[in-house]
Amino acid sequence: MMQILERDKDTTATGQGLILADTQAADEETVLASSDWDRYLDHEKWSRLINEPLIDWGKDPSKVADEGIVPPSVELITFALRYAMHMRDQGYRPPDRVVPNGDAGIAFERWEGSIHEVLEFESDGIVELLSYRHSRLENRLELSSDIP
Amino acid sequence: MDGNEEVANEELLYRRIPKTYYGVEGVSTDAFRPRDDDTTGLSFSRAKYKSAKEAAKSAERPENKYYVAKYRAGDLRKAGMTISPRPLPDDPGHCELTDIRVATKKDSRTLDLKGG
Repeated sequence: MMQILERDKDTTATGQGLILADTQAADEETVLASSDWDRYLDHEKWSRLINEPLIDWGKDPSKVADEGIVPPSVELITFALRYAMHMRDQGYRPPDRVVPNGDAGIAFERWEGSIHEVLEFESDGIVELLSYRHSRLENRLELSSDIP
Repeated sequence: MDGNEEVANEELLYRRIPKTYYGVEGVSTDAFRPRDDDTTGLSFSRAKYKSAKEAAKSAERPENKYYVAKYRAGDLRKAGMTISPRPLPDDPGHCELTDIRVATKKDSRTLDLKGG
């Protein structure tokens, strides 16, 4: 939706005379509404990821187990859940996927174009943000494991 | 051939991936995270010894279904990885990416290779 609006704005900017003013005002209102809508969608997506899989896993961590996958502890799932709620409430973009990291940890993964971000909750309590660009590690950052 | 011959660049290699690690967005880097028993490298299957369907079967969890990621050995080498044949008694086509090991799982180089 945002892309279409951006394109409309461009057309308006290079567009014609009197119509420009009215269309511009209408666009600004629409963009504002769209931004609210995006925030609503992000909030909904966070909530979906919190309910399923995190709450689901918390009820029965063994559901996560698979070949080579050690399930996270209930404590770590609870921690990741609280972290997710904090990020949701702070307006951070939601991940596309929440997966077990295989090593008794949890990973929040997000893709945007050539960028792939992984927020890892390690079983030893370390929280680390890994950023890949074109599949190469570009940045790694250890984050505070304190949730305000 | 007994599986000890060097892996040729044009060979195809398979990696079994739990379903949770694949989605429309792409393959999770954690599909390539070394486990506790990956002490000498990350396991792959050589396509010349095993079909993709066979590679998708897990002896540990035969009831589960898996995806199989396919790579050309030469491409993995171009990405900086070393491939060693490691035939097993019941799996002559077993080989390993020796740069991705449990002992180095948190090294930036290992994390970089996982992404590549």
